[in-house]
Amino acid sequence: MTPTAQNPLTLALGDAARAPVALVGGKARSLGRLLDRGLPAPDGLVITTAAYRTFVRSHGLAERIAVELARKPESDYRWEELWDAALRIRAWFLGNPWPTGLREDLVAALAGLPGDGPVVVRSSSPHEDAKERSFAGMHESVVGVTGTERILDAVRTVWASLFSDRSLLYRGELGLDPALSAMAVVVQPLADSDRSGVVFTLDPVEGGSGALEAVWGLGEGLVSGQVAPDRWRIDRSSGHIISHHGPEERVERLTLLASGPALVPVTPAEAAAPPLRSDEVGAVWSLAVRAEELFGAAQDCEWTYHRGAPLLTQARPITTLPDDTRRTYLDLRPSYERLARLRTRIEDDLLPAMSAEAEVLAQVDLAVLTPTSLAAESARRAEAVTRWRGVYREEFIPFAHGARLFGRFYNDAVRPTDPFEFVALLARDAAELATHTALLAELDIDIAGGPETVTRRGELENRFLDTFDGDDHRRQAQEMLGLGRASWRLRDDDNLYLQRVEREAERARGEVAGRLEGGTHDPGLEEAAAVLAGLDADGVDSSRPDPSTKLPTGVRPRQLLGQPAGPGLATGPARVIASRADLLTLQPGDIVVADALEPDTAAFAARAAGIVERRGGMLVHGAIVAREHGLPCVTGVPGATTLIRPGERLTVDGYLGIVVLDEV
Amino acid sequence: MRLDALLAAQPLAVLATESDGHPYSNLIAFAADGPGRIFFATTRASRKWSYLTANPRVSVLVDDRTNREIDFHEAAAATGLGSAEVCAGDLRDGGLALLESRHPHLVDFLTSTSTDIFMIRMTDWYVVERFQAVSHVSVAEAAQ
Repeated sequence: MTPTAQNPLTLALGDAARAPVALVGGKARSLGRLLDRGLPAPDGLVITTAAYRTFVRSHGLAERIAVELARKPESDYRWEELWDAALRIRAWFLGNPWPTGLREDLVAALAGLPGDGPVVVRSSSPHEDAKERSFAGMHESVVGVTGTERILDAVRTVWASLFSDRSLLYRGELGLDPALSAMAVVVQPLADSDRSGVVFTLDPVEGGSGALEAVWGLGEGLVSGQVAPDRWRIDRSSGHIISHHGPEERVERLTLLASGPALVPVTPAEAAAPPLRSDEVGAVWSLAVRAEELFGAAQDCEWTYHRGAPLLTQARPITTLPDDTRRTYLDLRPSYERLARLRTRIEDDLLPAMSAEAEVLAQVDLAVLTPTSLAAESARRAEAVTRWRGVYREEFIPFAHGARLFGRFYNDAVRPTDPFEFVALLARDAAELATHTALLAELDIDIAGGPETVTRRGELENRFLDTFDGDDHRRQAQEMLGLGRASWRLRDDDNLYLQRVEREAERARGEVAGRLEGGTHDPGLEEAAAVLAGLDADGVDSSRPDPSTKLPTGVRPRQLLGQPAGPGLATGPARVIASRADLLTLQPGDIVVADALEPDTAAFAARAAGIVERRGGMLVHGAIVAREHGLPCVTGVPGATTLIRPGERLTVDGYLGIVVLDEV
Repeated sequence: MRLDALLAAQPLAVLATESDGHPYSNLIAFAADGPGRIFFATTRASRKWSYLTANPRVSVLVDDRTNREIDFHEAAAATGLGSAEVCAGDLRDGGLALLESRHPHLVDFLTSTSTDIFMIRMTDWYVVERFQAVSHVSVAEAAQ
């Protein structure tokens, strides 16, 4: 919508009650109706979809996004690639200047907000249909922002979240269309509050009754899953409390610090008592009931206690979450605190335990075991592999979010032209690379003679840290960098640690096979052989095989599209990798073309002139090696190993994400 | 790869000819009976007629752009290489019939005594989709 008298750039929240949803979005409209009916809710400002469209049009962002999402068929994008795309899109929103006039209009409107305290900047999507609501939480809110410049940045962050990784994952179902979709934004003063929560007038889980949840501190702590709430069941007809359950313990609260919202320990008094008294539960409940009457449907409200009285900060009809396996990605929503805890657990407990277990297994002389003992030993090893693979999936893979979290943090602070510049800052230094090489050597993988690491680590690190004023901010930045680097290292090394355990199972498998071939007939050993063989089907890197890409007769690719995963330009003969043996004969100047490089094979690829990988993403092993060694790299090329012929001359354009095939 | 769809659906193509080492391009109404043969008509008085008789090697461009921003991710374009010749006899009758069925409003132009029907024998196509994905089609190999 172009800004006009009917489609203004901004509206007072109270006026949103009568504005079209296409202009103000569902959340603003609901809040407007609450205010309009005199229910207590914080007043504020709506930045309408007309403002969004003005910004997007001035930079041609709609088509830029559409091109980004059309690099290959929708179903070929892995979630990791969508995350990468979302990061690029976010950089376009935050890195482009405000068009003339728009900025001035928004600044003037923001000046009209009461007080100059911190605000909360929330998405208000115009696509408020049932589907969208059931994927609630895919758009961003920025809590506790102070100052016009930061608020304007938060607005653009919320705009960009229209194309968050989560939205992109569901873009088909949502009908997300860069040319048509838009986002409105609500800006409200952040109610000074030490208790907040949610209330459902009809419990979506248990049904029949209502439910109320409360935490100490800001409500985002509860909504983001970081703080466990007290929970009450409420009788719908009488409004009486049916039951109350506290969390196991009340540990932390989300509080607004100068550096932004942060988890801090609760006081002993807060730890000992529920955030709300019974009469306060009743007060919140009656507000929610009034909202239900107003909207004519059961409501899911967010509330906060402000100066002794409850306020509603959001109201929407109740939906239940869809049963969808893809949600596992969304449950991995990264927060610094969660990932920092995970890091401690991985570095201090899991990796040492895994190494120790591999060490113990390595001490066993399998050759001297009786058939019965060997069968038992094999079962023990199969169990160890299965158990550690479980740990790998449940704990190591989610830890990759540490690098991603750092990437967003870096981009917000530095605003680099290349949204993946942060990767160079995470790249390992000489000592870390030496550790990695030692890990490989232990697995009898010798990468001596590989190129020296080339990184701009030091220079970028200074530039990054210099953008932070004050000790608190600088410390936070350093912690974030530490987390990012740990995540990056583990991304490549975790697999090698796991391989130590797998190698021990492999050793048992060899011994068992040798005995069976030698004529031993033992049902226990035969069973052990079957169990050990069964491990093959369940490897952690058994990535989805490439659906064979076959072109009609007479048709050859001339230029293949992927993602730019390592800047640079290189031309050379294609070395199409089918097994590790193909890498051993790699010649300097070759272009490695692989389906999916693993850490042990990726190390060899460092000798190549360039890397092309079918598996997509900026954090795949091939891309990590390429970034660390300054090699041009393109990832996410569908059919790379079937479309490109061995020996064919290729040019890898790692700036644009293109592979050009020379014509014979 | 949308070559067949482009050739079947698009009414116009850009034809590039050459004279004295200088390229020259213009729009033609065309009809194709496959990726190997493209027919069009021109008067013997036209510049392209004289250029083509001197150098029959041509390039054509067929695309489905709408001249809007969305073209960058939605449109496809095919650049073809081939050699043009004036048709006679059965080939002329077949080409004319094909052109008439595709462009019935051009009947006067197509049947004018001063008009020649040309056929371009295509050897190669380069098909561009999604802004930067490019495929090469060898007409001879594709026909096997």
